[in-house]
Amino acid sequence: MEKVLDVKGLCKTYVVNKRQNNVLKNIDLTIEEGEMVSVMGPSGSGKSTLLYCVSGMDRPTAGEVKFDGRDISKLNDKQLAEVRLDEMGFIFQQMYMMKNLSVLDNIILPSVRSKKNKESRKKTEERGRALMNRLGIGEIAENDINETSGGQLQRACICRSLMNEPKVIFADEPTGALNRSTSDEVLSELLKINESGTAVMCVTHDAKVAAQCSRVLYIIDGTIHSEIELGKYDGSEAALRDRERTLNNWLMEQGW
Amino acid sequence: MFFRILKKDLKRKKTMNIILLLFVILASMFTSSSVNNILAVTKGLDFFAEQSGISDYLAISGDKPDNIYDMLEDKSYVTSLRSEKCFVSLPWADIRLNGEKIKEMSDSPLCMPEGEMKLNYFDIDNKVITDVPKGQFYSNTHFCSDTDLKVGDKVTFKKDGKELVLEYKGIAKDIIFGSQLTTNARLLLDDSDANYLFEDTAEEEGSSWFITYIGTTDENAVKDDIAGADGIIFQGSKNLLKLAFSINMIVAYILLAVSIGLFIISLVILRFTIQFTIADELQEIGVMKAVGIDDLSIRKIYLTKYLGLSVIGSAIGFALSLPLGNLMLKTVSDIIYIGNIHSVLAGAVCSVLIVAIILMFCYRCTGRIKKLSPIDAVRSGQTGERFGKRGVIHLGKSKLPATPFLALNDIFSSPKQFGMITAIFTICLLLVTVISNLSTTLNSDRLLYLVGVAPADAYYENFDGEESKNYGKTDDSGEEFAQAVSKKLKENGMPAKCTFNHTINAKVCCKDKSESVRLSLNKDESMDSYVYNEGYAPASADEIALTSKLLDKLGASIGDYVTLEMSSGKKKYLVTASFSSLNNTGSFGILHNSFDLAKEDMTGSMGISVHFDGSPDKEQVAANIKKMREIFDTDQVYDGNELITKNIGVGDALDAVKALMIVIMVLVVTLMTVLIERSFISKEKSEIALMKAIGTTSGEIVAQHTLRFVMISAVVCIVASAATIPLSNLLISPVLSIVCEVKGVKCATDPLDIFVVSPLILLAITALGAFFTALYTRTITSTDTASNE
Repeated sequence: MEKVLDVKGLCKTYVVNKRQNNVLKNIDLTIEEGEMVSVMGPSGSGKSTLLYCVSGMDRPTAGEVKFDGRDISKLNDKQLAEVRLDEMGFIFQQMYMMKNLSVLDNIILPSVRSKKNKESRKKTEERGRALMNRLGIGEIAENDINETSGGQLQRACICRSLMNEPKVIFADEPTGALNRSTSDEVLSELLKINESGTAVMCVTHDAKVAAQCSRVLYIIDGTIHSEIELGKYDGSEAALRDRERTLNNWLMEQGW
Repeated sequence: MFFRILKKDLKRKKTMNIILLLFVILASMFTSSSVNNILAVTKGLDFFAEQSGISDYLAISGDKPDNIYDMLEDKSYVTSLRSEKCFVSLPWADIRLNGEKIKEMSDSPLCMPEGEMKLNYFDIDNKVITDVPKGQFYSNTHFCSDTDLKVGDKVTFKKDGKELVLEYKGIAKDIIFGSQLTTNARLLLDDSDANYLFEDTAEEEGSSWFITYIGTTDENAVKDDIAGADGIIFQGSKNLLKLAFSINMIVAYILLAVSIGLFIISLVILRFTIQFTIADELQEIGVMKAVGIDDLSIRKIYLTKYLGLSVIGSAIGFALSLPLGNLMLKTVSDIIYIGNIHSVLAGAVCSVLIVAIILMFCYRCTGRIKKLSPIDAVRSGQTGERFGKRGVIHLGKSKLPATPFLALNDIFSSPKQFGMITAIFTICLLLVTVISNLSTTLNSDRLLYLVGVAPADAYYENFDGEESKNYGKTDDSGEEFAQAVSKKLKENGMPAKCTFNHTINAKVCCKDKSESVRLSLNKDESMDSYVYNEGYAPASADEIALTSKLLDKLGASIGDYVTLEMSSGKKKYLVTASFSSLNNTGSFGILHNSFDLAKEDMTGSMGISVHFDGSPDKEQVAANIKKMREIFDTDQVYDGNELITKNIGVGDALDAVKALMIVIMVLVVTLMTVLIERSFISKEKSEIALMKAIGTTSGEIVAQHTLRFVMISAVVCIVASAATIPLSNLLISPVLSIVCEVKGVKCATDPLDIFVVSPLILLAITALGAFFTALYTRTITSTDTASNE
């Protein structure tokens, strides 16, 4: 398997009121093609900061972040933006979308912006619709984002993240704002995407979400305290119960 | 919590609050100073008239006013009669400053010996000039307006081989010839100096003007009595003289209009700011309501803020209005003795009114607080019902690249806000272009017909040369003068047809009404060269065209007969046409070119119209005029534009107003752009962060934000360009009515200025303002998605 993400000695320090706050300390991490990794840990442990640093949304203070073989910590803002646009997908806890655009327009926007996309606008739109249909939200394509439910919106966000066929999807608490059943639906979509070969790095507080990932990292005080390999999830209820039990035991050991 | 919110508001919305404060300051400053100015000049004019000791009515004549005295002396309604004599035989060419000729004006300067002064004239310190020291002279502002003449300069006067060097003592404030609408220079001389210069020609016919002041209880009766009397060049009431000074207030009136505009913009911004603030602080307001604080108490927070802002803004604006008001008054106080009339109180009242209006408006705008419920605290203003508007345009169907599409989509998605910006920017641009059009019109030869002459390449008005020596001595002396000029032009390689423009003062009667009228006659111009509003051009010697204003006064109309009384006798004429003119305050007529003019009827002239042979282009005409000035050693050769500028005299004031309007447009547009873009950034912070997170570069976001304003500006330029000419045509008549009553004037335009330069200024400042403000989006990073709720 090829490494999609290879992080070495990643540090992130914030200086607030002349006081240094080392949020991430010497993190080493790799994510391979088609892997689904979740990051767990207590609030303020640095989970989201890690996600932002490895996805190029934020710059590490020290260390190396290799994405698809390229050290993205050395890229300028414009190059970073290009990498995020063309090769990464993002899903956030809040279903951020452009308020003035319809759901479909929000979804196809990254593709329209992408320089690597040479297809016609019509083709892009068709692809957007196809993605929406795949995720079961085809009927809300022309809707205003105020006219859609949270679950539909989060699935729309997933569609948007997939438009440029990214190598990896970064998800920051993707089910944090959803109820259990909607959360399950969204997660099942993420699993399908992962099945198709896209790596997923997901920050979550939800053990049920983490239990469906192949690997779980536990982060405390800016360092990866430990990790557990759960293997590929086959989608069955029984397997999920076993994985949840294993994970919960492990989490209790970590002091969760 | 009240003060925490207030403090937070002042800190977070610093730019918005500062811009609002600036608008309040500007509105207060312009309102206070222009109201001060208008009141001071209005009251000052009454004071000036009273202090000058002017009578109720006056007549200016080119001969001794014995006939006026004969007509009026025994009349019961005439309470006083007195006259001033001014010598008019001094050619401009013979007045030199430091050896150089000084700028000539159309009429010879009026030189008045101090012994002739019947009115009070005031020096620059408003002291009555009781004595003109020997070897010195005073003058009104027209004498030195285009000359760099300073107190103490020595001016050389030559007359009939005599030379007199006089020291310039300073300005004399002159109620008769002081306003911008009069162009006559008047000099006050010592008696012995005047006697030395003019003793040889003092009694010559046409060498002096007499200004007769008539005290009366019945102005109309006096007007009827002396209408058309021999030798009268002008007659009018005291009020007419005061009206002539109203042109000096035009800048103040326009400033007042501008300040009202600025105040309206301040209110629009205030509304925008309040709405934005309330939307931004939904949660705080909801929490306050949830804990039981009543609506009024919450509204008080905002009212306190805007009270403070408007009080500070108005106070600063009022303080700044004092020097600005004094500056505006200074230009007027050079020609009017204003006295100790200060309208500071009026300015203060204006400032207080501004505060009161802002507060009332603010109270109304904060009404939305009443509608907000505690639920808004937890739902961030969402009520649970999801109603939204679908975008008008769709990315999938659009051919536009993403950045312009998003810019356009933003505009369509916030039609109210962008509509407001479009409206304000359009008004700003229209103010500039309309004033430009008015200024171009009032300086263009398009208005030549209002002066009463037919269009020509050049106009020659110098009566001091050799060619005019026989003028007035025979019936055809005017035409002979024109022939002499034509001959000299041919000798100098500029063959031209020259025609003489006579003016004849007469009394015109119709039924039981009579008026004084000035008539134009040019024997060598086609009658179709003049512009008529209605009817047809006079076709025979017993037909006449009269101004609409005069016809109204006489109660006559086209097709009626009127009687003209001239020195040579009375005769009836058929009115065939009406037209507009500003000559002789609108009491004007045009005689047929076959009219048989007797020399005793020749009371004046509007010079010679010159038509160069071979229809030369503008450049050639300009070169010919320059050469004519050298050949005839005079400045009094004009092209059509110069003739209009000289006669109307408000073009310069409008040019100054236009410059001011450009400054105001730049200021308003820049401030509005910065304010609105800043508030948009604040509102769209989460979207900007999201865009950055999904791979949009900072440059693309800055471009999107800048493009929104550039698109709006482009629309503004198109709308304003389409509206400027119709609007100018609509406004030109009221503006010209300040000077005279005219109808059907079409505006002249400077296409480069109104369609290119002014729109480009607007586009450039909007683009720059939006661009530099949008650079602030660079401080928003993709990680801000985490800090957004």
